[in-house]
Order: sequence, then C-alpha cells, then structure tokens
Amino acid sequence: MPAITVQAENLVKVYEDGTQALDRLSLTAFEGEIMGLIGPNGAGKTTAIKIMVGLLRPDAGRVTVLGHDILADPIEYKSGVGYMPEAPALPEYLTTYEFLGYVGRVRNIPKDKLAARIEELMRELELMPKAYATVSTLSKGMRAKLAFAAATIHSPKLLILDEPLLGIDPAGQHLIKDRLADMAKRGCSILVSTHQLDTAERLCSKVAIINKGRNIITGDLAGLRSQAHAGEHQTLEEIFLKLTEEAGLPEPELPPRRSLFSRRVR
Amino acid sequence: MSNVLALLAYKLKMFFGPSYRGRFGPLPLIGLAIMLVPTGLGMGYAIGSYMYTVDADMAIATLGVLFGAGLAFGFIFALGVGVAAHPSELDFLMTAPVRPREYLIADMLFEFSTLVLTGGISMLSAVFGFLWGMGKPAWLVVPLLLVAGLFMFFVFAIIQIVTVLRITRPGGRVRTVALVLLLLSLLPLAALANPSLSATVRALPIPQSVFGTVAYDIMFGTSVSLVDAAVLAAYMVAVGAVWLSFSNTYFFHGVRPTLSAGLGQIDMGTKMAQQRRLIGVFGRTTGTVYLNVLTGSDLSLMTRLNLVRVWRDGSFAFIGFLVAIWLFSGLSGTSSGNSTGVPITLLQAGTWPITVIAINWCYYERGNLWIAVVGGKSLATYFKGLMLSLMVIGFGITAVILCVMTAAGHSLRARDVAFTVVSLVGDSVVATMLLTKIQVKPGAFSAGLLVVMFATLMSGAVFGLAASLLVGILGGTTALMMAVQTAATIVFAAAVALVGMLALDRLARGFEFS
Repeated sequence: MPAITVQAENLVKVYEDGTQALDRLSLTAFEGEIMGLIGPNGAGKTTAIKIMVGLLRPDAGRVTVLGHDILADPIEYKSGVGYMPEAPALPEYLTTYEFLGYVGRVRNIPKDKLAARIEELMRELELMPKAYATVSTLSKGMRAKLAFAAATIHSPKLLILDEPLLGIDPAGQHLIKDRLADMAKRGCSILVSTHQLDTAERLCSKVAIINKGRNIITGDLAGLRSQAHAGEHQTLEEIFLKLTEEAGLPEPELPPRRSLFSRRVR
Repeated sequence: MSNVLALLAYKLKMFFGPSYRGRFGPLPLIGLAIMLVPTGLGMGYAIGSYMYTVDADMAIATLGVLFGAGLAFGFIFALGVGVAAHPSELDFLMTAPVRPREYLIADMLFEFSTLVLTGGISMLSAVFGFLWGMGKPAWLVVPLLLVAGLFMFFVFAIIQIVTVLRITRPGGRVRTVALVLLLLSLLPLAALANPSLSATVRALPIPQSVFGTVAYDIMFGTSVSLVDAAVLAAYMVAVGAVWLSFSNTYFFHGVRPTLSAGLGQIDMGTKMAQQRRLIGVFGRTTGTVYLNVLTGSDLSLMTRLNLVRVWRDGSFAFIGFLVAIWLFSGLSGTSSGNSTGVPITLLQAGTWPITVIAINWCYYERGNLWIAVVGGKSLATYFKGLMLSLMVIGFGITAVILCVMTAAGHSLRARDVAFTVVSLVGDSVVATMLLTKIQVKPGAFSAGLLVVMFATLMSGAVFGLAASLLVGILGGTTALMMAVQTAATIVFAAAVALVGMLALDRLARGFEFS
C-alpha cells in the first residue's frame, strides 16, 4: 500500500468578503500517483492548494502533508513539497539562472550541487538559450517552464501544480506531462489542478471533482463512472458535467446598482 | 453631437468613480483638494510678492512664463498621448459609431472638469494668494479666472490639433514643428534670466505675452488695449478654426490608452508593464551587475537580491536622478549663503529613496514572496536582507553627497553625522517592519502607502534627533571627544539595527502572504 502524502480533512475556509471557498473538503493523495483536481471556477481548488502549501490558513479542519500536521508544524514539511502556482508571479528582474539559483538556495540545495542541478533542469526544459535573459523577456510558455523548474528543483516528494499547462504550446505541454509521468514513476505524489479534462483523463491516475468547496467524488475513471452511474464509454468531461449539474448552481442574483451620484440605486 | 454627454459621463465615472466608491466616499478627493490649498496660496503669494517689486515689463514677462509653462505642458502632452483615454474606451467607445469631433469635445470637457475638480480649489487659492501678494482687491479673482479659463481652452484646442495631426500625418514633421513651438512657448524665461529682455518679451505678439498683458491690465485696472484684445481674439479664432477643420479627421487608430487607473488608484497591470520596460533597459547589464547565487550566507544573498532588484528595475536610476537634483539645488543654495556646514536637508537625501524603494517593494516584490513562503525557510532572513539593502542604498547616497560637498569645501558637524546615520538606519528598520505588516491594495487612495511614507520618515527623524541630542550633550571638539561622539553614534545606530533585527524575527513569523 503506497504511503499517504496528503490527507485533508473537513477543510473550511471563508474569505473576508464572506465567500465560502471550502466547505468541509476532504481528500487523500498517495505516493506515486497523479491526482487531478477538477471543478468549476470558484469551486475551491486553488484555495485548497494554497492551504496545502502554506499560503493560506483554513478556518477549520486538518491537513497532514508528508506526515506533518501543517497547522501545528508549518515549516518542516515544505522541504518535501514543490509548488507551481497558477499564473506565477516571478521576479522579473532576475535572469533565468539567477531565479533558479535563488529558489535553490531557499530550498536548501547545497551550494556545491546547485549549479549542476540548475543546468540539468534548464537543459531538460529547454531553457538553456534563455539562461542569462531576465524573466521579463520570457514568453508565457517559457515562464511556465521556469516556474515548473523552480517547483521541481529540489526533487520534491509531493508536487502541487495549479493549472500548470496554461499558456504552454503543445510541445511544452508534452514535455511537462512526460516529466510528471516520470516523477510519478519514481514515487513522487503529484496533485494537479486543471480545467483541461482530456489531459486529466489521460495524465491522472485518480481524479477528485470539487464543487462548491466540497470533494464530491474521487477515484479513477472507471471508479468515477461507476459512482456516477455513467455509461462505460462516457468521458471524464461528460461525467464532470453530469455531476456538477446534479450538484446544481443557483441562478445568480443581479447585485444592487451603484452610480456615481447616488450611493445605491435599485 | 448626441454622444458627447455620454462620453463625458463615462470618462468622469472611470476617473472619479473608484475614489468616490471607496471606503471613504468623496472625502479623499475633498481632502486632496484641501491639502493643496496652502501650497496654492503660498505659491500665488510668492509670485504676487515678487511681481509687486518689479516693473510692468518684468511682471508681464513673469505672467508670460506662467502661461508659457501651461502651453509647453500642452505640447509635451500632445507629443506623448494627447487624449486622456481609458483602455476600455479604445475597446468599446472607439469601435462604436462615435465621431472624432464628439470624442474630442468630450475629452476637452473631461480635462477641464478634471482640472477644476482636482485642482480648482488650489487654483483659486493661488489666484487669491497672488492678488494678496500684489496688494490687489479680491474681486479681481473673477476676471482673472475667466482669462485662465480662456487660456485653458486655448491650450486644450492646441493639444488636440497637434494630436490629430501627429497621428494622421506620421513622418516626424508635425513632431518637429510641435517641438519648435514647445521651445518658443518657453521664450519668456529669457526675461527672467536677463531682465533687460523683459520689454522685448512683452512686445512679442506671442500668445503667452498677450495673455500675460491682458491679465496684467485687468489686475492694475487699466483698460485692455484694443491691439492686445484683437491679437488675443485672433489667436482664439485661428486656433478655433484650425480645430474645426481637423477635429473630424479620424484619429482613433493612433490613440494610446493613458488613464488606466482612476484618481488615486494604482493599476498594477500598467505598473508591471512599466517595470518590464525598465528591466528591458537596465536588464542589459546582467553581465556586470549579477546575483551570484553560489556564494555568501542566506542573509548576504537576500541583501544582494534586493540590491540587484533596485538596480535592474530602474529604481536606482530614478533615485540617482532625484539625488542629482537634490545635490544641484543644495549646492546652488549653499554657495550663495555664508554657512560652510553641509545642510541637514541635503544629508537627508538618503531617506526619501528608502521610502521610494519600500513603496516599490509593495508594488513589485511582495507578490514574489510566495517563493520564500513555500520554500520553508524563515522569512526573517529575507526581511533582514531587505533592511540591510535599504541601509546600503541610504548610506551610499549619503556618502556620494558628502564627497561632493566636502570637495566643494563644506564641513560636517558631529551631531549632524549622528542624525544622518541613525535616521537612515531608523528609516530602514521601520520601513522593513511596516512592510511585514502592511499590504498595499490596488484600490483608490491606499492608506497603506501613506503609512509607509510618513511613518518611515517620521520615525527615522525621531531616532536621528535622539542620536543628535546625545552627541550634542557629549559635546567637545577635542580628538578624544570626537572619538567618543563617533563611538556613541555607531553604538546608537547598531542598537537601532539590532532592535530591528530582533523585531523582524518576530514580525516575519506573522507575515501573511495573501
């Protein structure tokens, strides 16, 4: 039985503006598997991910990552976790090499091994020609590759990716997917949030469908079909649409109109 | 012309809407207008008092300089963007069946309204101050404002003519003519540099002199001469006629968006685009100014990281420019005086850049901190590095200033050194401590920015004053006492820095990224 890498239990998060992002969300991920997090916009995927990497604190619930209770011990577990945010903010002023070096130092990679590791990653992800170019000059795809390199520079045991293939050309997507499959084979647990359902279907060994802050179903494709009472040939997209429609989204109300000259007008 | 009011309303809502709908409603706008009143009054009074002491030719030349500055600003604006367009106007208004003339009228009215609503009260107070300085009755404010209003529309029309011509007749000829006219608009400055030219400047039939003469005649109760009135009318009619003939020429294809944010707002998208452009320029030096990630302690890495950032994002160049102006004004100010001491205001040149860099950090660097947060390392090292980089910059600037001033023959008092050194350290400490707690949100009129700016400067000054007092109490000019004063300064600065380091250890633990 593979070891559990992430165990989230009954996570609740309500933002300051009253938006309930997570409503008792629970999920479990194991080593060596690629788990897809899919769900409509605003379902709570990014919030859940940000909690797991320590960028947000839940209002209630418990998260264990790589055996650490991350609320009680918010630092130690991070050395084993890699994270690639959606549309990552990168230091535009650093060169590709400097940025990876900076991340490597933050990730405690020994100085004598850092240069070799940077070069290895840059070669694998075809970033070499841009080694001494500032991040500000990189294309969207190159930035995504750089963020991916930063997330994997310390060879994490758990890799968490939020929309990693957004804005990357097909060749780049293929490269990253290959790398993910390779890492999973070597025992890395990968949690990937994506809207690309066909990719999730092919890449992920398990999928969790999240809606309105809850994990409504988890399993491999066959398991999802059976749990959702779907046909044998139904795609993940069809299952996803069926389940999220069943969960039902309320009709949004028109908010009160505000004009420059009157504070609130109906 | 049916679209003019709709266009004007849209522009006004885009510009004033965010601040009006903010937490404090229209109060920030009113506060801003009120804050500018003393400045307007003081400037008006200073110019009025000066004009009271000079003859008619010089007074008219001075007024000509003021009108000329307005005209020059108009040419600069026309050569740059020309119309105040929000990005959404390009997408939705300029793709709709809106006639260019309708848009131009709306834009002219928008610019007039914006000037009146944001600067109207300070403009009014400046005219009052001006009349007060000259010892003239207050009721004259009405005709003077009418002349000013007429001049504003004259400038707006010229801006729009140049803009339409620049866009529709590319090739540089329009730009060259506009540049020549820009330089000519500054002609009255010659009279300020050489007062014997004031009569010649007054006699020139250029718009600035004509407007200046009419304003002068109104102030002194003399009837406006027919010639002046005719020349003024001729200018207005000519500009109006040219505007009419070009205002329906299609120019939307060359409009660049300018007003990407409303009053007091920060548009992060535009700011990031600006930063990328600057990094494109300064990032070319990556071969000479680079971050060596393979050496040094973590604290050293974080300090160097922040110094590289300040260099590559252009802050350093901006600060250099500020310091050059500061130094120039300081040197020219002290050269005519009797004091041989370095003015304390000059020594404080290092404190403003610390504030500027701290504010820039909020805009550009805070978002990058996710790297350190998810990295599992204590953020205290990052913030200590930031604090040290601020100190390095502050001391670097001060050292340059001291070298220049010493070369110019100025000396330095021990208590001023103490004030400068300790306030620079205090500024850096307080700025960094605030940055761990304050998040500048891109809303209208960010209170966070004001806190960073004022709290940093004020607390730095308080630390500096305390050190200065201590050194003053120690007194003495013997070598021994000088050594004691120096030691006291170093100990004081080190103590402030140490307290800062300890505080950052604690504050960084509570840092919240989002």
